[in-house]
Amino acid sequence: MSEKVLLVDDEKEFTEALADRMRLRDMSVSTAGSATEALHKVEDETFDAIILDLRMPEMDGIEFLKAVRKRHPELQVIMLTGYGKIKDSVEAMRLGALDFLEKPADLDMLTEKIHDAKSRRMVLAEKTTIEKVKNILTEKGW
Amino acid sequence: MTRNVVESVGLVFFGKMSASISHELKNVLAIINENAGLTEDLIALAGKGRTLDVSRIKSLAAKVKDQVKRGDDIVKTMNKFAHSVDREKASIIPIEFLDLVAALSRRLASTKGFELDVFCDKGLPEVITSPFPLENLLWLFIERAISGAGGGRKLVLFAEESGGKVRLGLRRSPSQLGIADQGFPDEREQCLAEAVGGEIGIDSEKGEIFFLLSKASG
Repeated sequence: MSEKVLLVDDEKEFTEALADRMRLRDMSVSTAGSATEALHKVEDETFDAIILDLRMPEMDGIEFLKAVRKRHPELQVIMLTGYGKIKDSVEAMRLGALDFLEKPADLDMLTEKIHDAKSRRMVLAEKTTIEKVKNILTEKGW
Repeated sequence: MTRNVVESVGLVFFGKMSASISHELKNVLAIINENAGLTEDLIALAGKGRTLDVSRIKSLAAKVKDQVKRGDDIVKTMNKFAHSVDREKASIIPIEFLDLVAALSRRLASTKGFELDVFCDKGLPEVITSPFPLENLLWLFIERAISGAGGGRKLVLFAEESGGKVRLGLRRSPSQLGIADQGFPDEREQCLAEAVGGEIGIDSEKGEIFFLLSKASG
């Protein structure tokens, strides 16, 4: 099954070209031009990986991570930015980002990261499901 | 004292603008890289028997050219900005000067959710000023307006005739909303205003921060 990816960047030309390249590699790709738009998308759909720019109008990548972490801990976010300061990269990783890459990224490497993201998300989703089942069983006293 | 403040504030300003320019150039290069990569991908697929869509290749080439033009404009702005420190005093054309400040600041304002426009009265004369400290001062006005709570999300750099002088400044639109006037002018603004050689002022009702400069002929 192909990876489902959300690309978040305010540079529309960038997301369009990268999305087309990823689709040629059989990925299913959605795009968002802002973190706010991305927040709406993650409420409606499940993604294996989110490729997230750091500097965006209104809400930046770090704020997006903070907002999304609580509601969707299984989300796998790969930061992809023009210039990442070490401080930003540390903060992003502390908030659970899978990786912090600099533009332009090598697509083969990015594809590998997306494969990793999908594997991690599936493991986390499975753990969450097991926890839920355990909780139900405990509640029912079985 | 003033000179020290102007120099240290100027260095911060120069660094901030340089970082912003390099960030924008990096975005341009990233777009060129992805479009070139996509072209390669399509050609590689054509090598494996898939039909090559010539119109798509043309469109990708056009996108690359657009980004080269964008990159060239950024480099021209950077060059003008770098040369603004060449002379302590110089004659400036207000519209060209504001266009440069807007080009430098637009991306940073945009990351805070603000649009930045320029408005200039027609036929304004040249003014003699210190270009770099004045660019820096207008940037501080932009920072001040952005930090002000509430108000419109549009900023307008303006230049207009006012009582025989040229009034340069920043207006937040819709006006009467949200220009942060607390502690105006602060030490940095005051020192830069002294270095530029003009009168600094604020009109909270109109949502304007401005600077009055004498015309070059006067």
